[in-house]
Amino acid sequence: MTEFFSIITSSIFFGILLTIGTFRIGQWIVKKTGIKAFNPLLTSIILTIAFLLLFKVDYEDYNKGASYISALLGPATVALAVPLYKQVNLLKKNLVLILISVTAGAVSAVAGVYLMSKLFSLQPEIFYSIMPKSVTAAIALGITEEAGGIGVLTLFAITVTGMTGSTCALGACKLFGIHDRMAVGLSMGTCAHAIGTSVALERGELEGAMSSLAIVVAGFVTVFIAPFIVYV
Amino acid sequence: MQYLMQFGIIALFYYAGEILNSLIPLPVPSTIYGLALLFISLCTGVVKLSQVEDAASFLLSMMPIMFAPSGVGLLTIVPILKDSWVGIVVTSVVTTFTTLLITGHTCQLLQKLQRSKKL
Repeated sequence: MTEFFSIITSSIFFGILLTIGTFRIGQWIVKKTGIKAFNPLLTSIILTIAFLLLFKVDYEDYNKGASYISALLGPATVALAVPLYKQVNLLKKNLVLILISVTAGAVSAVAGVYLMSKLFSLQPEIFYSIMPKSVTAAIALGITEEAGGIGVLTLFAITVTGMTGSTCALGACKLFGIHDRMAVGLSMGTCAHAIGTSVALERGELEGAMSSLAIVVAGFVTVFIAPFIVYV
Repeated sequence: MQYLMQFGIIALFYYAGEILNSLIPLPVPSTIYGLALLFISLCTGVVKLSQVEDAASFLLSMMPIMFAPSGVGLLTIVPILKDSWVGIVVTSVVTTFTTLLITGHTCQLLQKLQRSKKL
């Protein structure tokens, strides 16, 4: 039995198919229940973890295949240039507005993490690690490294943020009275990086473009303010 | 085949971004270089929209699933999280909402100001 199982898990297609399969189940649940909050990504992660634990499969075995799926994230992020280009006129017309809104959001994200860390009396090391949690992973890890934080904690905070953003952000926009399409897009990208952007894209191309622009601007703003926070 | 060529162009920009990232000593990730280069190329007409559009929308539509493996990877850091995870989770969730609120309302407020100036 174990020998048979190791044959199954040793193929790179094991990880790929497990990821696609659990994601498909997640999409099916959303379709059946009509509840958008059952995020397919979250379902996929939970089911995959359950599967790995239940059948005692090593994460490395799973990731052998699954890493091919995550590798596409690079080209996909580059592809964000396309919706951005399609909205280039709107972008030029509102450049100042976009820069100010996203800067305000990015500064508030870092300030918010600072205040909450004080509230929970988290170690400075942990604060440095989760400070860039609203920023896209590649930039955030660079910031953490510079500040002397722990990379895996950054990834953890980024994932929790992304999950919160993708499950609740659109609902929260409604609740907070954020209706304007540009405002929705900018907020999604600033608060929940690329995961927020993937949700914004589903809502519309304009939202997606604004959200991808927000990722870039928020990333740069956070890179710039992080050193000041660390030395204060 | 057409899809593959389009994907090739996008991958090429990502690859160029990776090279820039290792050459330039700034904390700018390769994806941002790649995104900026592709955007500039589209604006200047070096790359035509039709040369990348289909593959780009395919990649973007499957973007959510690309985050699944790193989410599953959290499984491996459970021991490190020990007693700090509650603080991290609450902080991350709360600040996601405050950031959303502040970005969205700053944007809407500025739009209102712009409109009232024009009138």
